[in-house]
Parts: sequence; structure tokens; C-alpha cells
Amino acid sequence: MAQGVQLRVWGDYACFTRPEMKVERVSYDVMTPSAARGVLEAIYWKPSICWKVDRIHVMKPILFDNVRRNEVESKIPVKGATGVNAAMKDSKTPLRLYIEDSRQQRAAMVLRDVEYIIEAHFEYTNGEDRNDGKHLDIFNRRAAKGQCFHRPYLGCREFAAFFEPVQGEIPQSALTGEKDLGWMLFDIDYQADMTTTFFRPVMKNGIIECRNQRVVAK
Amino acid sequence: MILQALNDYYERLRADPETEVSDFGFSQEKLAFSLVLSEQGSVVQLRDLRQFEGKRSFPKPAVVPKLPKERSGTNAPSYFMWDKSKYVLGCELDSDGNEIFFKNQFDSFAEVHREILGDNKDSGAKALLNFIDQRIFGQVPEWATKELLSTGFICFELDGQRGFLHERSAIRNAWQEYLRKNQSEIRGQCLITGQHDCSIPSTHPQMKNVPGAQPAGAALVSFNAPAFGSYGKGTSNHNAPVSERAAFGYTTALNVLLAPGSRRKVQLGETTVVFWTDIPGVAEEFFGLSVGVKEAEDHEMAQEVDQYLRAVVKGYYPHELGKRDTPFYVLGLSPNAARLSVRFWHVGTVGKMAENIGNHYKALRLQRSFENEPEYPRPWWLLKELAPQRDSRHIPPLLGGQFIRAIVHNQPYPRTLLTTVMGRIRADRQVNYLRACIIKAYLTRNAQKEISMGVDKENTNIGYRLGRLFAVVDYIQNDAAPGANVTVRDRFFGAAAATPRRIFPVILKNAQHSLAKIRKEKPGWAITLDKSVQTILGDVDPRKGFPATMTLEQQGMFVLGYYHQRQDLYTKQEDKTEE
Repeated sequence: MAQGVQLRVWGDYACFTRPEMKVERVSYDVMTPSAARGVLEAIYWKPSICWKVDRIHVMKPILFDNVRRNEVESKIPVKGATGVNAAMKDSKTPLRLYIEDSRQQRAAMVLRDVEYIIEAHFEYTNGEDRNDGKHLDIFNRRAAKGQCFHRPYLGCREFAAFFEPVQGEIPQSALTGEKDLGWMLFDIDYQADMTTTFFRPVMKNGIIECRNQRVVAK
Repeated sequence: MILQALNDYYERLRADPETEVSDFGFSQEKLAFSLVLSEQGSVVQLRDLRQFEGKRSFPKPAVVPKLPKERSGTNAPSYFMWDKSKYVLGCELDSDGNEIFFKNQFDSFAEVHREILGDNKDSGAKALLNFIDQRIFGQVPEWATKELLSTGFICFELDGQRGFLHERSAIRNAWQEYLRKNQSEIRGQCLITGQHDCSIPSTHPQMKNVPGAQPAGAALVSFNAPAFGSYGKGTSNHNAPVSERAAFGYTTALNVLLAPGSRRKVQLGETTVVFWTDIPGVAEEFFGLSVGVKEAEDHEMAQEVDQYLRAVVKGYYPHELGKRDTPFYVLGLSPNAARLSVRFWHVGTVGKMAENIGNHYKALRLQRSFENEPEYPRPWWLLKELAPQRDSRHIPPLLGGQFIRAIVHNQPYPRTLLTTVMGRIRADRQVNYLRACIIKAYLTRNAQKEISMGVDKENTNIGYRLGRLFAVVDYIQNDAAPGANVTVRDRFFGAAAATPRRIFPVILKNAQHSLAKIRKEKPGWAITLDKSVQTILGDVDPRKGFPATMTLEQQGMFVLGYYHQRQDLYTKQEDKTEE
């Protein structure tokens, strides 16, 4: 495909949090398409293009691990006397959160030792800046050099992803057979009040087909 | 997948005529009294539904209309067709027997029933509305007994007709109509069924009977603090769209699994494990008894399980367990205040499960010190060995879940298993069968060591050798000075395992003194003991000598060598030849 890219990402930990279990986090078995999109966007993105994930190759066996961490339960408010708006207005109000008062211990079931290969292509969002070769070159150059706008991550910001472009053919995954992954988050439709959309992938020999899903998030 | 599997389980339970699970909008509750109403709404009779056994009373379980969420707050609305006397009569007795009146609750009872029944033509509905109209706030009717005012839930029936009012089809229909009208306005795709345009409730029913969680119930899916919400969905369950029906389904199924007396539940430390198969049968029982339960209730049952275990350890599949490829689900939950967190989740088949359990018990197999020790020690007993004072409350919280997960997934055991057991041995210097089992299982599975059930004289692993040597030295000292206050084990065990080079020359020298003493009384025996020290030392590389330090794995081997050699020393010679 003239607009297609292939990227290998890997890391020690990953947590593609299920929305139904995002407080005591439980990860999906594999990377979700929206997480893959996030990785690509971290490396290269501009308003005139959008990334579409075609296939996700799961290269390593699915392994879970449990961690327990101290987190906080509150957010600094936007509105109100102690909020972000007030602080921006008078540039004096301190923004703060006392962790002693809002500590929450949360358990998480996360993935260990993951490696994925993302197959994706980009599409144009408008008439401007239509130059396949340019976008493709920028992406591949940046990916090869390790450049990114922000560090790509595997589901959660604390689980940083390593990445490199895949040259030539995609290697065979360590997984074989078929696995029904159940209903998985596909993406969030930002134009319809941030509605979540779900799809039901079946992993065949480690490959998850993400095309032919409802097109969202333009 | 977890919620989907639970929802599927609910559908299966509903289809099974032998199990009773309630429909959406209904719940099983315990009723104490029934008021028999005339058509005009006057109370003809007060019927006590409780059963008495000695001094204890048991209210009658019945399926009643109930919204799929718990009532909370001081001014919570009344239930439909049943409630406490606080709502039905507006009056309740406090602990001293004084009447206390509740206006809000009194009004709420009328309001709820007028709204749902309204202009219902059913004679039962009319009778209840008449009853409501005739109530006077602040007055207690003369038929109301003290017990009625202080305990239990009250329901209604119509004079001269069988069954309760809430069982009448007209009233059930009115309730279902009300449920339909009152579903959440917010619609979206359900993440359990995948259905589009479902009504999405903002909270789900809660799970009860999880030790350590709040007794009123804890939620598996909840977003109870601002930091947990995303995309502006706040603290409601719209963060995770689940249709009303599916939410009811998965919670009902989980509550059935968690119910007191459920055979599909085991408790390990703070982790509650529930499991189920597509086809109920022996397999569930087997799993429950081989992985969980502190003691099987009756001896026969325990022996039967041991028999299955003997088979699976040898790699056979007991056909009593049913079809090999029946799906098998295991879910580990642990409480965190008002929430439940998932410790592990496993979907496998019965065949694979039996195989994994077999592998686990095979890794554990070790010669017992005493006949009465369990041949197949259950995880619970092993975990208790890891807690200070063997108090189950002190079991490291994460470990129980990780350990069971390692068993059901046939994965390496958590490393903390070895560090914790070595720490316990260092602290109380007790090397017993169960601890040796844990170390053996860990070293067999995680470090791929070949370890025999009994003493292995050919094994040249330095840790193992030194462990055996230590056992002999310990034995010699004990023989020379029986009942010493401080034995060589008490003083040196931990240090000898960790830093042999520093300790062994000292204790070997001491052992020679002890041997000299034995020689005076039993010269032949002294020679035997001296020889065994020489043979064990014989294979230790003289150029390297004793290692300065040993790794944790080597220390594990040290403990096993010690355990094996001691077994060997204390087993009578005639017993040995028999084997």
C-alpha cells in the first residue's frame, strides 16, 4: 500500500485497560486498535492525515502480572476558587493536590513482555497536503531515528514503548490457532460526545484484523 | 471476556430448571410476615412466614420485585409490594422498644405504589391501594405486633386467594411496564453483548459475600472517585457502557457463585477464587477441593480427591471429570474497600486444568516426615507456612493470587514464594515437610532442577551437598548432647546456608568434639557418622573449598539437602530396606 507503514513496538509491561475494569485495572489480552493509533500518532501526525490501523500482529505469548500501586483519587478541578481557571487568571493561586488526603491503592492486572507489529495506513482528512511519499518518508525516517513527539506507550503512560520500523516481510508470530478475544474497545468517537465503540476480533495465528470496522474518529 | 463469560453463565443458569436465579427486575429476598388484605383494604390476618428451629427463626425466601441496585441513603424510596414496617406503617421500634415514626418512608410507600399501580383494574392492586389510603400516619394499628414492627420484611396477599400479591400476573406486568419506562435515557453500545443502542444504567448491582469487602456489597465495575472517570463521563458507569440486562446478568451470576455455601468458590488468603464450567459436574468439585478448601468436609470426599490427584499427577485423566474439552473458567477476586479487583482470570478446558493441577502436585511431591502429613498438600496449607506464626491473616496479600495463577496457567511460580519461605526459615529455623515442598516445587519448575523425592546421594549440587552435611553435623551434635538448649541448627542454619565458608569450618570442628564423645559410648556408630561426613565432603571440590556465599536457589537446595538427609538419618534401617 502506498500509504501503509509497519512498526514493531515492544516493552516490558503493557496495560490496555478494559473500560469496565479501569479502576482496579485489568488489561485486554492484546493491544487495542486505538492504542496502536496512539503509538503512531506519537511518532508522526498532523491535522491533514489520520492513521487507520489495519492489522495488529501479536508476536509473543500473552502473559499477565499483578501490581499494586499508590495512586490518587481526585483531580485538580478546572473550575472554582482552587481550580485551573482561577490559577490561570491571577497567576498566583497555587494548584495543588494533597496526596495524603486522596491516596488510593489500586491493583492492576497488566501484561508482561509484549511485542506487537502494527500494520497501518494513513488517510487524508481534507484536500490539503496530499503527498503520499512525503508523509510516508517522514514517518519512516522518524521511526528509524527513534524520533517522536512524545514517548509512545503501551496503553498507559508509565509503560513506555520501544519502536522500530519493520523492513520487508513481517515475521511469523509465536502464537498459533484461533482465539476469540470477546468484545474489545475499538476506538472513541470524539464527534459523537466521546462515545465508545466496540468490535469483536478473532485472533488467527497471532493476527488481529482491524479493518472493516465502523469508521470513527475523523 | 470476564463479564461476558459471567453473563453467559447467567443465561445458562436461567435455562437450567434446577437452579433458581431471578429474572431482570426481581430478586430473591427473605420475607418474615404477610398481611392478608380484604378487597376493601382492611387487614384480615397477620401471617408469620418464618420457620422456627429452637430459638432461631428463618424468614421465607421469595422472589420479589426489586430494582437491580441497592437502596441507600436516609430517604431512599420504598420497595414495590414488600418492605419493612418503617415503610409499610411508617413506624419502627428502636432497641428499647419505643415507637419511632418515619414520615418520608410512610409517604414513599404510598407514592411508589400509586405511581406503578395507578388505575390498575386488578383486585389485588385495588386492595393494596385501599390499604394505603386507610393508613394514618402516627398511629399503629392494633394488629401490628412488636415483632412485626421491629424485624423483617412484610409482603401482602389477598384474602381467599392463593399466593402473594407480588406474584399476581397483573402486578408483575405493571412492574415490568414500570421498569421499561424507567430505564436510563443514555444509550450506547453494550460492551458485554455488543448490542447497539442499549439503555446504559449509571450503576450496577453489587457483589456480596466477598470476605474483606464491605458486607453491604462491593462493585466490580464502578468509578467511585473523580480520578477514575475518563472522557467527561464523571463517576458513573457510563464510562463502561453495559446494558441494563447484561449488568443484571453478570452480577447475578457472580452473586450465585459467591453465595454462602457455594461449591464454586474457594478462599485463599485475601483472594476469593470462583470457578465454573459449561457443564456442571465432578470437575468443579475436584478443582474446588484440590486447589482451595482448608479441609474437605468428609473424609471420604478427601480420599476421593486424593485418588483423582494421584491419577493426574501420573498424567492420567480421570474420566469422571467429564469431557476433556469442556470450557473451564477461573476468576480470582480480591477486595479493596467498596470495590473488587481482579487478581487473575483464566479460561481453559477441564482437560488442561486437570493436567496443570497434576503438574503442580508433581512438582510438589516429596517424601513425608510423618505418616499423617498430607500426600498432596493444598495451596492453603502451603501459603500458611509463609505467614509469620502461621496466621492466615499475615499471608502476603499478592502471593495467594499469584500462586494460584501459576498453578492454573502452569506458569513459573512467583519468585516471592522462594524469598518468603527462605525468610521464614531464617526467622524461625524450622524446616518441615510443607516448606521443603514449596522449595522443591519452586526449584523444579522455575530453576529446572531435577530433584528426587528422597535423599539423592549422587547429587553434586554444592548447596544440596552442604545441606546434607549440615544435617549430619546437626545429628551428631544432637546425639552427643541430646536436649541441648541451643543446637547447631538454632545458631547456624541461616548463616550456614548463606555463607558456608565462614560457618562450616567452625561447625565441622565442633562436630569432631561431639564425635569424640560419641566414640566413648558407641564407637561403631561414631565411625559410621564420621564416614558419612567424609563421603558427603568427598565430592566437594577441594580447590574451591566451601563457597563464600550462596545464591537463593543454592540456599533452597541447601534446605532440601538438609531435609532429605535428615529424613534418611531418622528413618529406621529396616524401613529403608522394605522400600
